[in-house]
Amino acid sequence: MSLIQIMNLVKNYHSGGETVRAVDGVSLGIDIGEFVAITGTSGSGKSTLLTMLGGLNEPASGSIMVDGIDIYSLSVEQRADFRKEYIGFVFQAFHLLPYLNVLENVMIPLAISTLGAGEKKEKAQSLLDKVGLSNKALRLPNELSGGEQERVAIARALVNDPPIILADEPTGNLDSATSRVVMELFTRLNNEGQTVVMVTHDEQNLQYASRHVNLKDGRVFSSHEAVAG
Amino acid sequence: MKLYHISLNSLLRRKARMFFLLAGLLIAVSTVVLLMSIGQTMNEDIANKLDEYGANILIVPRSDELSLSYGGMSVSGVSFDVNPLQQSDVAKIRQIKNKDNIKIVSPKLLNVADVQQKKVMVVGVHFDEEITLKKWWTIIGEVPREEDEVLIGVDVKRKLQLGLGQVILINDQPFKVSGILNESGSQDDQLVFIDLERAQKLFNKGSEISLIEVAALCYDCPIEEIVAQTSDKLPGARVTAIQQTIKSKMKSIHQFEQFSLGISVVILFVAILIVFTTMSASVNERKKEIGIFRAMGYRQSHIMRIILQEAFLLSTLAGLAGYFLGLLVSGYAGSLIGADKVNVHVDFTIMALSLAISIVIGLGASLYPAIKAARLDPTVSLQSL
Repeated sequence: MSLIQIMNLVKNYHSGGETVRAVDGVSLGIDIGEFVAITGTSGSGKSTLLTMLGGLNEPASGSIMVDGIDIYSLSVEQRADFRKEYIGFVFQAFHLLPYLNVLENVMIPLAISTLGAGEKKEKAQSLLDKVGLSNKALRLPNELSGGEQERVAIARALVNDPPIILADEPTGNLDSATSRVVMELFTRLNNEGQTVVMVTHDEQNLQYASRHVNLKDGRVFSSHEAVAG
Repeated sequence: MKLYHISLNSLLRRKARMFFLLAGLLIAVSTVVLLMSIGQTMNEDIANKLDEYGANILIVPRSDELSLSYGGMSVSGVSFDVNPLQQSDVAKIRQIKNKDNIKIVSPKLLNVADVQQKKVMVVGVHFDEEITLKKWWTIIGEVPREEDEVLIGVDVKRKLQLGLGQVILINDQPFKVSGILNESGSQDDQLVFIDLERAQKLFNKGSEISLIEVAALCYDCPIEEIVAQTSDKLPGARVTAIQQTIKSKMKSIHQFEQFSLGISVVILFVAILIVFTTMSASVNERKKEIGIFRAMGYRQSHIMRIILQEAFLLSTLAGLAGYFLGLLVSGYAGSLIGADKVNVHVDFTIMALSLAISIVIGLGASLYPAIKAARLDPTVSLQSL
């Protein structure tokens, strides 16, 4: 059974009196442990699909089932709880809070959890260790390189042990060498069983994914298993 | 890591904006504290000076007779008392509901007597109370300590050509002049003062007294209320409030308090606007941050808590700092409005009130921005990334 089951999903945007269909009847299943890369041209609906998967963007019709939960049948606050439990977001521009140090940034999702202070710190430290930044825990984000900031963002996305990582253009702001480091990190996490759904327009990143879904005009244009790179 | 860490760090990061907000609240709170402290100081000042204003209530026997005048008031029944006042009535005055507002009770016995073969008004008093009541008295010599000593007014001294230490005869009884009152311009200049109990014996009046002067002050109730309470205790007496300086002084204090209230309301309203606009601008500036929080599973209530905790931290700080600043400034400003001694001391009631005002303004004015932040559409917030 799929971890994520998207059924006939539709999303419209209204702009200047016109209705634009950003997502047009997308149906898709994603299994546990898959690494899915969603590609498409600008405006193809890939980022919209990702925010809908994260429970942030209500569809006009259709449904998304995650682990058997119809996420848009939940209330706004229940969807927040769902995100806390199931989703780890990684954004293109890292989006670390500039006034918190690296360790505190990783702990942001834990600020609303009931874990003890020591446990939170321990968990964040171990994730920084995992992304190779344990020596920079007390640095502020502006003291890190782009690749390091992205790795902090990945550690932050993982800190709640979510079954799904949603990454929106995670290498969009990185050079090719740094991109490779970040993608290898995603691959390593995926190899450890983490389900990853990544939106990317970078062809280079497709080699790391186990499946490639291409969107065109809000529809699934193609979906196929990746050729082992 | 708790939500308040985020609030605290966020405040420390946005120093300029938060300093502006803090300054707005601090100025508002300190101004209110300043006005409150000055009002309180003025009240305390007038209470401390009460004895300098003399008596403000006069109690005389109820009678239709108008036989003589004392201190500008008609005193009836000196010679023909229908229901003369008694020494025991003094204790009854101390039993009224507002007894704490009674500062001095000074009973007197008035009697015309032969002094050196001339008719002079002799007043029996308790010298300790009389001296406290009439701070303006200046005495050459000493206040009588013995029963056979007298204090004479300056007119009596001139008319009878008396001097300090001289022995005079009052109704054929010898008394030594221990002190002479300097000219006061009042009726006291024409009187001879002797000990009350000695006077009662001298004139065979038993425990009778002619009148009682009372110095009282009541912030929370009009002086008429004390008059009414005293009248209830002494049904056979006529109790009258003396309209004098203290009343106009109290009136000016009340006017100042009303003015302070008006100014405070305006200042607090401005503070509300400052907090509201600053917090609203802060929320607009933090859309991206709020979107990130929401994406990470923060509930709307968590967002509200972050914003309101910031407001709480700032307003608590502003409340405390504003209180002490207001207190400090009132030390200097109080003297400008006529209070002789400005007693700058920590009053926990006003401190708690300052904190409460600051926190209510801080949280109240931040509530709408906090709700707005919580209801931000996360996708819109994230699009601003």
